[in-house]
Amino acid sequence: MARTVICMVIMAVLTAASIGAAIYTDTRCDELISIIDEVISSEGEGSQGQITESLDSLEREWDKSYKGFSFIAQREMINDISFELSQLRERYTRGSDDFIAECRGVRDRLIRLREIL
Amino acid sequence: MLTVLLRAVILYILIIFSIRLMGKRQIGELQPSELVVTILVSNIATLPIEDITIPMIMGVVPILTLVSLDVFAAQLSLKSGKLRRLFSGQPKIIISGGRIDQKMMRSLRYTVDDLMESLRGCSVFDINDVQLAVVETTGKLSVYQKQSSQPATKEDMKVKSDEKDPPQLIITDGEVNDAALRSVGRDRTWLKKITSAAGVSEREVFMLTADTDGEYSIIKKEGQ
Repeated sequence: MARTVICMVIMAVLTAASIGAAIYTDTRCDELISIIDEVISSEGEGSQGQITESLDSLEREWDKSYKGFSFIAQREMINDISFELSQLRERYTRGSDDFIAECRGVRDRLIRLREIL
Repeated sequence: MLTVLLRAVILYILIIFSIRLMGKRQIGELQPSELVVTILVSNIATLPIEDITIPMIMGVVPILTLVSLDVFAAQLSLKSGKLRRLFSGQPKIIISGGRIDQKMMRSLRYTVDDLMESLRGCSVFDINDVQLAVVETTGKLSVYQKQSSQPATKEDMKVKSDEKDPPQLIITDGEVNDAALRSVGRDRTWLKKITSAAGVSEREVFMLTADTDGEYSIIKKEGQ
């Protein structure tokens, strides 16, 4: 009977942790995606100040989320997102043509991360 | 390198805990459902050890889930015969009344070589000695020999004998097992008395066994 109780506790903890992880991923990814959407729309409007502000905010939010993601997602996947995010500012400063394409790439990766977890 | 070492240590502890949680049967003979869990756990555990890009949690969650499900399945099997048969199957009789059930052997895909090997494992070397043989749900063969082939017991010989538990291991390499001491109805004072009588302290005893009648045997440590 003790074994069954231990297993019930384990299952309860795992279920709670899984739901918690899913909610965390969902919330964080939504937040990051909405900032990327802001960057994309600001680029369309040509609002440079807004883009810089959004990129700052994006880096800040990603730094906050990285540790949490590293516990639940494959390292390779989050490292790829980190790398692409680190390239965004440089591309924007250089006036690179594929800045928006790169933003959409990061957005797709975040959507995939959210779907996997 | 250090990460792999730490992951291996954590998963080792987790698997020991899991196997203990699954119970004693897991260490000995496996039921089909337990075998499946054991194979899966061993496979799952290797992935996060080898590949450090996989988060530890991806190894921990499935292992604990599988073990918990196995414990639940075992608990349900205890309560329901139908579920027990579903999870573990049923023992099958392959020799009854000294006759081999060839149809059953075919359905179990049990060859004559398998049968002879299992019989030899039960110290039966002549199939004519077998009255009943059952293939258990673990795949182990249980054999009941013909009366004529069974060794004579004290009862057969009308020899009177006392029924008592075998001797318990009280001291192992100088370490006293208090639970065993209590099970033979003795205490530390008695232990001290008999070790003093043998001219040794408890720490100098390599092995001490005793039974409920107070009969004991002491082997001293060598090279002390």
